[in-house]
Amino acid sequence: MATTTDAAADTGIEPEEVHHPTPGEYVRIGIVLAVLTALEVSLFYIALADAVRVTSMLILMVIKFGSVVAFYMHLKFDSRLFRRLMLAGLILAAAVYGAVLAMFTNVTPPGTT
Amino acid sequence: MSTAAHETSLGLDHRKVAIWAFLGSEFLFFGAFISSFLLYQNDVNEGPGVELFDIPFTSVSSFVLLMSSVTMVLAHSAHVRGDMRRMRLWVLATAFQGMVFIGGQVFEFTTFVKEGMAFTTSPFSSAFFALTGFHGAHVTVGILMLLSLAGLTKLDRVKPDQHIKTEMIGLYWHFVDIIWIIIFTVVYLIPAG
Repeated sequence: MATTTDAAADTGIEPEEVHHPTPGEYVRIGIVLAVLTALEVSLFYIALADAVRVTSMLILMVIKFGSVVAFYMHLKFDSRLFRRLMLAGLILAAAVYGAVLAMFTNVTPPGTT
Repeated sequence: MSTAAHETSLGLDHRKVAIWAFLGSEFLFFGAFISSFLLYQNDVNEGPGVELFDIPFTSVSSFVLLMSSVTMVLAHSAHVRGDMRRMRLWVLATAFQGMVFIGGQVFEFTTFVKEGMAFTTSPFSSAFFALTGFHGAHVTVGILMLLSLAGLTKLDRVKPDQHIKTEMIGLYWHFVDIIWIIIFTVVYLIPAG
């Protein structure tokens, strides 16, 4: 009978890491998140070309999202399976709704001119 | 109950596998509302639109929710160390910040309705209220879970070695936070800019 360790080896899923950031590191990440948020809001008030402003905001959004997921939700340290479960939902949602948005914005319904 | 009793054949705690599967599915739930908003954001039906958004106010409430993730992760860290008093303090701080956020959302919704933007005013308002309202409902559920956790800890029903419970509630809370990170940028900042 396969042991837990064998099963983990068979599936390529490593056992859970016990090393997580220290409280001080969590606070430092929080400060970075606060600064990124302030930067994002300041972009709202700065006169920039729309393409530059929107792209910058989206980049900051992705960095903030990734930081919370990686450090606060421990995906950087935990099993790859958890990362895959999250990415499966995220990629599926982005693909399905991206397709819907593309269809609704680019397809003219029949009977309209 | 020992952690070993909850292990799957993968060597992982099945409760954590379950919460991650649930959170993965939640992306589809919120994705539907976000894409609906993107589709209908310009369909205001001669009613008010994004000009009603109070960006400074929403920025402050967004900041509060973001910082609640810091206190939540500090609560989990304290629980792992077995410092239950500090863990309870951070959990209550997180719940309080969640309440501040919800209070802000109630104020914002009330203001919008007074300005003539109700749920059925336009496709834009329906999409906006559905998305932010469901997010608010998720935050409210999170607050109830946090208060329950603090209460159960006080009653010694959650032990120092049961930090998986704080971690699972924390994962849910951080998820609610990352969804708001998306909403704040895509629904508030970009359209109102």
